[in-house]
Amino acid sequence: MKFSLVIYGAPYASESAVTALHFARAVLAGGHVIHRLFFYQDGVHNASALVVPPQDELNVPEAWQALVREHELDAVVCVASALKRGILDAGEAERYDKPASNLLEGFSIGGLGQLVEAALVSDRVVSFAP
Amino acid sequence: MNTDTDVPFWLFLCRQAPYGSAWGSACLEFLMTAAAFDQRVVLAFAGDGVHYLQAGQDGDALALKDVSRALPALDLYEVKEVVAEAAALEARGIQENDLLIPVQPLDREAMADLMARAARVFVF
Repeated sequence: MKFSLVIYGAPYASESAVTALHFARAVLAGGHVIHRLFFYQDGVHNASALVVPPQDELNVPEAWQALVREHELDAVVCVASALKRGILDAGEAERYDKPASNLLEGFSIGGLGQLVEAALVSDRVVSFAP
Repeated sequence: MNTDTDVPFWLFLCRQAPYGSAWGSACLEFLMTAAAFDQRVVLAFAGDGVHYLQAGQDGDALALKDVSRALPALDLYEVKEVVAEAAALEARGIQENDLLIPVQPLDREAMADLMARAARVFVF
């Protein structure tokens, strides 16, 4: 089956982001396909290159990055949510004259149209919210 | 309003009050994007979400725009199916003439039935 996941929660603030990560791994281990990961609202923080967790905790953004790389997943970060929360790729940082960009490699900035598309073509859309 | 036609629809359920959090705005943004893609959508308000429907909102003190302005615009997006949990309206003393847009009040059973019939349900 074709799955798309919507991640609404920031890493560490609640379990939802890690639950989504576990679910994503289980979907793939089960032989299914992940059409898209869509990071919305506070979920955009999962795509930050600047997260520094305590040494004895999982680096959640990097865990997503590893999964995305290994399975060549489409990891989209909602532009409106990202801008408000200061998650910017190089293009957005330049456009808005900000001192730095911080989008973790492997993720791309996109719009809600991609969430609609995912919901149109996927067999299952599973949401993870705090 | 008739939600019984065979055209598959996506249900957007808003359960949070406006201004206190961004959940309702996210609900409306996503719903309007789906509607712009010609997807049939039904908007439902339940619990504290019914406060979205109240007239006389003013987000100025929080430096937030009046989110309720999106509601009369729904019609322009061809979003004409809006329902609300009857018990939630009643519990909050919200009456028909307090509402910004017409909604169909649903009892719990009808709301459950609506959720069961939806092709997708997005909860906010």
